[in-house]
Amino acid sequence: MGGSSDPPPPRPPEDRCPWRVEAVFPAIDGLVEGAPLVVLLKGVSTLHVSLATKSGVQVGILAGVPNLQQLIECLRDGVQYAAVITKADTSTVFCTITRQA
Amino acid sequence: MIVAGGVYLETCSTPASSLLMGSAGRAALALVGLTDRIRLHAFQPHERALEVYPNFEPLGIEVMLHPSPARIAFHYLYPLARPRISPVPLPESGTVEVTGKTVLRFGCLEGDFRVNAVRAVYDPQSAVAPSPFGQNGSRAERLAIVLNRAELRETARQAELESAARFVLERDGAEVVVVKSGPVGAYILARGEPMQHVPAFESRAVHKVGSGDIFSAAFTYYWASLDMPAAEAAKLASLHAADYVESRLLPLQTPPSDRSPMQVRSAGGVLVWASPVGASGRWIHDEAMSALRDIAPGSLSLLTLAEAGQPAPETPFHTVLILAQALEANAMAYASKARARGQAVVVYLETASDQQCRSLEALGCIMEADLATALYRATWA
Repeated sequence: MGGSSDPPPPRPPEDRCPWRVEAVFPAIDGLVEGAPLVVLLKGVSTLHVSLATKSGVQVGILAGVPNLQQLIECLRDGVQYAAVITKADTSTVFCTITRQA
Repeated sequence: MIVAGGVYLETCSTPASSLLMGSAGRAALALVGLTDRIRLHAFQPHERALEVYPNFEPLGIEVMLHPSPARIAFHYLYPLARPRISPVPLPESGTVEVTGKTVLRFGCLEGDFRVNAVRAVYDPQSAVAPSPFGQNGSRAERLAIVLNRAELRETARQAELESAARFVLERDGAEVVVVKSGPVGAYILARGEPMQHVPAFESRAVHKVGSGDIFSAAFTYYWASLDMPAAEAAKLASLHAADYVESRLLPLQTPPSDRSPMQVRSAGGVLVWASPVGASGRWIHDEAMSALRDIAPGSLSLLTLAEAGQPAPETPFHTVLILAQALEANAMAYASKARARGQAVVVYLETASDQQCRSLEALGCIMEADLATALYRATWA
């Protein structure tokens, strides 16, 4: 016999929402360093994350991201994310998606 | 097209990255830019399956996962370092049958794919024990073997490139053997033809991890799906690989970018100016020397000039590679002298003032903050 009769204190729920995700996409006219992008949850059977310009032009779909499923679940649960172009050249744009506290 | 092989977690400390790729995952994503109807076969533990699908299916890739006890992860300190692979021991997942018209088969760590195809490309992905294509019962009416020089050396147990490639060609009953050779490009030995060469192409950055996967994927598309001659397919594959190492952009864009061919200097060598002080300085020096030998085996002479007081050797060094955690005055002076002698100077440094950067650039030095890129550029300079 042993142990305590008191229940253990409740543990805070595990925070599985990623704080930062990086992505690379083909360049689109007008996309410059510092430009904000919209993070969109799309799809029906298989949900996915798409980035688009403020005017609605799709920039690309996230792929090859280890915690993508968590990101999808967090977006579905209403967690806010913001994306910005961190570097742009003639062929490529680099984006960072950041969780909003 | 079917792509069969590993889908693994790949992390790198510097430059920092975390990807769910593996050879097959990367190749499948690459091919989305070139062809449709891609089916990806990989091993993955049941509890990880949900993490895989959203990374591939939205791009039109059909994902076929086969059970594995654990997901394999590769961790790189930097892209040219030998990766730490986990878990240990590796999971074992058995052999899976794959049948299709065109199949790209990668060797993988936790299992194996037995292929039945009209056209197959096989990239063994093992420098330790690359197994013959047909050893597990795989069959193809037309077969290409795509492997790197370390795999070729281990397979054929002979140093001379063409005879080693011919050994693999005959042993596996292949139509063509392509030997990926990093910055040297690739060598192509097709049955009944002399050995051909295609160059590597210039890129502003070298994100090396997975470049061989991209080459194999693109080669498969052009050779197996479009029926191009092997050398032509390899040249396009080399261009796509250069696009990828520069940007890491997937899917591949077609046509690939126009680029200048690069050649590793066959004469001369790289003089490494370093101050291997402390653990990090010593590590950078040792890693650089080891990586340079791997990048261009046998074609570069290397010398370390570790002390600033040592007299500068007369040529034949065509390039001076300065490895500096912080740029000291004597490194600046050495760079200046080397440029005056007409040598190319590549400077890898972690921190430098704007004034130092401007001074070095004014001398015509190539500045790089990424170690892998600096090492490649030193062999190309």
